[in-house]
Amino acid sequence: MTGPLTKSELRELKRRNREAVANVVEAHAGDLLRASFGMGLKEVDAEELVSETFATFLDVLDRFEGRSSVRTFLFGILYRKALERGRKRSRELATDPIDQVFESRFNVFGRWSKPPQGPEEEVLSQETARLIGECLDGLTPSQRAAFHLKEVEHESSASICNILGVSDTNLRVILFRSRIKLRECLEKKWRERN
Amino acid sequence: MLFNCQKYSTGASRGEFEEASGWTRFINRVHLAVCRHCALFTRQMRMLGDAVRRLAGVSVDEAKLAPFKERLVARLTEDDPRR
Repeated sequence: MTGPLTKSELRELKRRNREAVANVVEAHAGDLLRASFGMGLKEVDAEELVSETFATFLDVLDRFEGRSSVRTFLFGILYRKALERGRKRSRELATDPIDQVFESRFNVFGRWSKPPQGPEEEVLSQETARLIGECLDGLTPSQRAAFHLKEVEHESSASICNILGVSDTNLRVILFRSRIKLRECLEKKWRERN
Repeated sequence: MLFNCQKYSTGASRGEFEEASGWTRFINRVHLAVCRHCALFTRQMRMLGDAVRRLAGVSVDEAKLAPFKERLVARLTEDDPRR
């Protein structure tokens, strides 16, 4: 049950038919839980958020109308709830200090004046994964959500814009800031270790 | 764009090269062949994705997922006077 719902599936879900509900939970609960952890939630809070997401999904099925995929619709509900929880604005601010940090690395000719540092080899270790977990906490909720949807869930840019309710231009800014912040954070932690 | 590292790294971070034309991809390859700093930057961008996928891969405990799904289905389908 990953694409649009059939009329029959929609009808059964509205009736809260156990088999229909079990099918949609089976198809999507794991991904939603992973996305909740990706937002930095602990297990109890993540499970509660996913539970609320499915409950809301069943309550607003009339609004679904099969326009988007079930997955996109569920992710949209999840991230709206996650951002409401933190009482943080989902809209990206016009400026972010990381923009200046990034610019300061280049001279007027666009060449690196402060080149990137860090491991030359792609050392994919538990240590790097742990460090990035710490660095993710430095992202705004919308930056964290966009980065997770892009890199972990492999959602298209159009789908992410739909889920987060942002324009394509805004999404590019959000992804830029998330990647630069993470890279800067990791470089700092690598330097501190070595 | 050929030797403008700031434009290259900005574009790469914004995801602007995902659907780039053949010409843009060629120019970028030439740039990365001559600029070791941008080459390292590009590798580090890939590392970010690999590391966060690794982190996400171990975030969900499969042993706990099945009982969670069962509890969820039970909660969503418990007797509802509206039905």
